[in-house]
Amino acid sequence: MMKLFQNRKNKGNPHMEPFVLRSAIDTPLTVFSQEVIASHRRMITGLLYQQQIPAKIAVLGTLQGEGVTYTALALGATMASDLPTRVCVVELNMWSPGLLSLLRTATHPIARKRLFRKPPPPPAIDENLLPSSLGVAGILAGTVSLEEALIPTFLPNLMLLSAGDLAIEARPTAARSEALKALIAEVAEQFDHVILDIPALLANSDAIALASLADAGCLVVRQGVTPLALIKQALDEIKHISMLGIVMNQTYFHTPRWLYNLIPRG
Amino acid sequence: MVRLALLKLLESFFRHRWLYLLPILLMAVAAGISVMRAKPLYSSSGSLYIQSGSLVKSLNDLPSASASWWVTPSQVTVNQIRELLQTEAFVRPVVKGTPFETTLNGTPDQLGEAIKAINKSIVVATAGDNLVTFSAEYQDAQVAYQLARQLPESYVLWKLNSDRQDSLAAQSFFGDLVAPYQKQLDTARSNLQSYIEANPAPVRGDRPELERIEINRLQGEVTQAQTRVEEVRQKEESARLAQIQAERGVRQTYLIIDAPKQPTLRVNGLRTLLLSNILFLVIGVILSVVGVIGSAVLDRSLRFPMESTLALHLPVIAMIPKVRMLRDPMPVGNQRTAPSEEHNTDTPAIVQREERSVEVPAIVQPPLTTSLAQSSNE
Repeated sequence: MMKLFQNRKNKGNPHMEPFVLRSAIDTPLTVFSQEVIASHRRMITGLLYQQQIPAKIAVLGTLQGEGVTYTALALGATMASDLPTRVCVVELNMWSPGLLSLLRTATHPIARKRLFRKPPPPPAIDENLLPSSLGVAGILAGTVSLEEALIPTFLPNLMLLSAGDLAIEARPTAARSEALKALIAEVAEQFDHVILDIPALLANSDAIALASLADAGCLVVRQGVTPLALIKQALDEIKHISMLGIVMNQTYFHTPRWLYNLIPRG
Repeated sequence: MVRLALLKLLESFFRHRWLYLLPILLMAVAAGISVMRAKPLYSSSGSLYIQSGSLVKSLNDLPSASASWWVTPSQVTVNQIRELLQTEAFVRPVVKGTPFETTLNGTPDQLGEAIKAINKSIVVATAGDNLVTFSAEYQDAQVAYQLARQLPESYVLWKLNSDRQDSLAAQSFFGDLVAPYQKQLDTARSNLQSYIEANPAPVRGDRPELERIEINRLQGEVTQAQTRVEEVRQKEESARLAQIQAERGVRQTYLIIDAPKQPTLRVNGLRTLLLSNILFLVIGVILSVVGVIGSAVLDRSLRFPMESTLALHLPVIAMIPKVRMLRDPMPVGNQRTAPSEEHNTDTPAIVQREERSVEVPAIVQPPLTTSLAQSSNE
């Protein structure tokens, strides 16, 4: 029996079973806990009833490692699962692409670090079962078409588009190119919602150009890690973009709930 | 803001609660070790009353209580005892018969250390203008009692000795003067006798004028020498009397009101030790509090949704909880897990949702993160 999110409270509760994102050929790609899905569901519901969900949403991050790709994929999966809309998650982070790696976590989980034991070797899996794509870079290079680059999933209304491998010197040009704009416009025509996975805002200035391709953005922040000053700096960089709000990632409160409830709300 | 500060402090504490409890724990252990290692301590104390009148008389050059209101007899006595306790000559009779006595026979360095240790054991303090309290503490009740008993006795003896020395010096001085003065008197008498014998009085009539003058001169010398001898003897007697008076005066001046008793109960009982070692715990708590506050102040990261609203003026639209990563690889080609197993690649998602909507979802309490997001956005 695989050990997934070992939470004794939720063990056996069908509503708390993890959500497995599978490929079109039924290969498990990645796993989201129900808590993660519930958080995104709440976010979508809030956006749906408070304002309209923008067609192109940029998922932004201040620094690298905030969990932008994970959030973008989880948001896309939740939207595709819950809403009768066509959703495409487009990875524009060509500087440190992580979508394809994330899609391998179900079959190639990150090995736990052990002090005296070597991690077990990754299981031998037919690579043809795992998704691969030349992605945005391939489309911009003219190697593949959009239809060929899209990665289908078991949800028919959810498609994924990875960043691909683009030469370093070509990346700044590509980020500001009309070709990329045209590509995003084409994707937006085919899908109701396009979720753009943008590189870290403070890592390079190309992120600002890429974020500008979206109608609105949301900033992913790692709770207790990302400094407020840097978040402010990042938000100043993208003042021209309509912001939906902050997505606090990897949140965990050490304060007991009963104690939290004792603090009066002003 | 108060709520945010409280939340930050609580979060700061609970984030590293074991780290912040460590100083308290360590200090408690230190207090426990201190209590366990503490040796029993006994204290014997008494009080000495100084009668002002006699004291002023005995203290030759020191200011009197009436003339110098800024120095009381008790202060003078306490200062003297404290100064004397720094000297080996005074300390020796005080520690006679105690374990300290042997320590005084070492090298000068060891002697200094021993005197320091003795000074630590003995406490002398004023308890009013004329009252001096003294106490001695030691691990042995008998020794503590001995020290407390011998301290005032040694001081009174020292005072007696100092006064006796003055009187003896005076007696010796005047005693030495008596002999030469007596010799001078004898010489003067002899001279007078010899002159009278050499020049007998005439049978008829008076002595010649020159003889009378010479006899008067010799007679004057005798009288002068006799007066001198008598004065010296009188002074010698006075010095002797003064010695006796001084001894009696000292005994009357320093009166032990509360004689020290042999203690039966230890001063540092378990309760006293625990109370005195509570300082360790207080220090531990202070260290922990400083750590918690410091950590909360130095933490400039976004931790609460409220901070986003206050500092960034943006709502928190989602709070994604921290979850454990997948540990073991999933088998390829197995059945799907819920809810994906309900999905069919041929069926649109909307239809699947309608199917699922038949089931009544279990009411699951929202996680704390969700509550926080709601409260922040409110």
